[in-house]
Amino acid sequence: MLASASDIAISWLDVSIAACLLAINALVSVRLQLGMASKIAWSSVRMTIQLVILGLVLKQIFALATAAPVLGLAGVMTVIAGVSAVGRIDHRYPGIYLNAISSVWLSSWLVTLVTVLAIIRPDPWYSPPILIPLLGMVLGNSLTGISLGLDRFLSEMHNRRGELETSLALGATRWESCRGVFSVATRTAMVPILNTMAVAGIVSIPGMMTGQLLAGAPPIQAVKYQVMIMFVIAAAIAIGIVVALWLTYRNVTTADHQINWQVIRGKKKLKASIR
Amino acid sequence: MNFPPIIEVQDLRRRDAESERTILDGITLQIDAGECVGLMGPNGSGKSTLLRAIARLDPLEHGELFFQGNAVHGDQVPPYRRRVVYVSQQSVVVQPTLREDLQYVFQFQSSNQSLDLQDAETQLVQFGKTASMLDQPAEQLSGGERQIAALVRAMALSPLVLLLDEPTASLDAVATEGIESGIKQWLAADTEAADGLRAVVWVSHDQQQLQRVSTRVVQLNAGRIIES
Repeated sequence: MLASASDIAISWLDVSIAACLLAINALVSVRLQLGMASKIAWSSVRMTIQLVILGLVLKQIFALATAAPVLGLAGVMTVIAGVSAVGRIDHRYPGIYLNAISSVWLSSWLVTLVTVLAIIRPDPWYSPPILIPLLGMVLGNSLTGISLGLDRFLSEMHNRRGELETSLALGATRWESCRGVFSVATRTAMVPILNTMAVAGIVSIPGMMTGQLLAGAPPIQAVKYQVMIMFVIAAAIAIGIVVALWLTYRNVTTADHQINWQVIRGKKKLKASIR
Repeated sequence: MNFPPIIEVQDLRRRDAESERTILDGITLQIDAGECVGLMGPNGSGKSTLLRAIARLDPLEHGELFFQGNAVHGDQVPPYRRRVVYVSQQSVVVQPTLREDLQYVFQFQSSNQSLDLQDAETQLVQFGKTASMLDQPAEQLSGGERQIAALVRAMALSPLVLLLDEPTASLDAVATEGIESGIKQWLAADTEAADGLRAVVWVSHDQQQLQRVSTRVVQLNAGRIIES
């Protein structure tokens, strides 16, 4: 029988061979004076530390037989994903963190629970080796979608202020005025997953399938898992972005069909006013 | 004949959230049918903010607005804005052409009439333009033409009140005269009709213009009315 990755353990020495390959990047950076050598080094060290810590935490969590610590870790992962979703957004408003966390939480947990309870059905249902990586994948994609969508929504509102105000002044409701911006932002959020789905299996073998193949799973089984996870991720992004945009829309508009421009501010200005 | 006030604002207050500067400081004002109220004042005196407040475009810290004796809140605001139309200084034609723009604003939920394109064409001519402007690409319109397009679009809604923020700022003398006489005619035309108790609020820096067009001038300074 052919060997699979799950039969072959790799040592830290083996990992260091891969690190040597990365050193080529650093050398190129130094020779071409790209100024990226220290960034590459720091990112590599940081990633290694993060993953080692994750490995140690997972080792402990996988050994537990109760739901509470598993759900606790899932909660921490969700909050971090929500906070990260806001990280790269240029225009913000008070309450954006709460909204991002709520939308990441609702969308990711909903689809992950449906996947675990109705599709994979492990025993117990919170089985950490299944629940945690699955939630991690959903969260990672969901936060990217929410981040892209929110950024586009707020920057479009800022850039199309004249148009939105003109519509309001001529009798549009707040929804009629903001609907176009909402659609553009939703489409933007869905672009990465649609692109991934379009090239899956043609340009690249997606991550989950790669992992399963390396672990020795039969290819068709790996395909089924991959297709399932793509659908789940796409659903999580769609739910997450609609919830995040809806909450944002409600935050920046008023019941009197106004757009409260004073609450939408650039990143720096908002930080200064909070201080 | 005495008309009831079309618009009444009481103790309007607004502050800029960023600078914490007071923009409106307890404005109380009544606008009667048949009036063209001129709003004057130095830069930053609160003229445009007051006009936007009357259009209910910005949240207020304090104050109340009555339209024909009724407070305007919530879902009454969009229909109110079709009766009391604000024309901004930086007007935008939202759709690719003015014709599509006119059709667009008649698709809003709050719209209960149908578009009279003939009227819009007549109005364009009144303002010194031709009907062909309806199909000119919006991005090719000059600043002055955009201003005229915004006025025609506002008047197409058959409003009771026009809130004009420096409507002739980007226009030459001939076009300015066309706008002034057009608005005066619009105000006079239906004033006597039972369903057309019209009024205008006109913001301008030009004192002579306000003397020509307005029936009353309100002077603002630092967010307060200093003379009416």
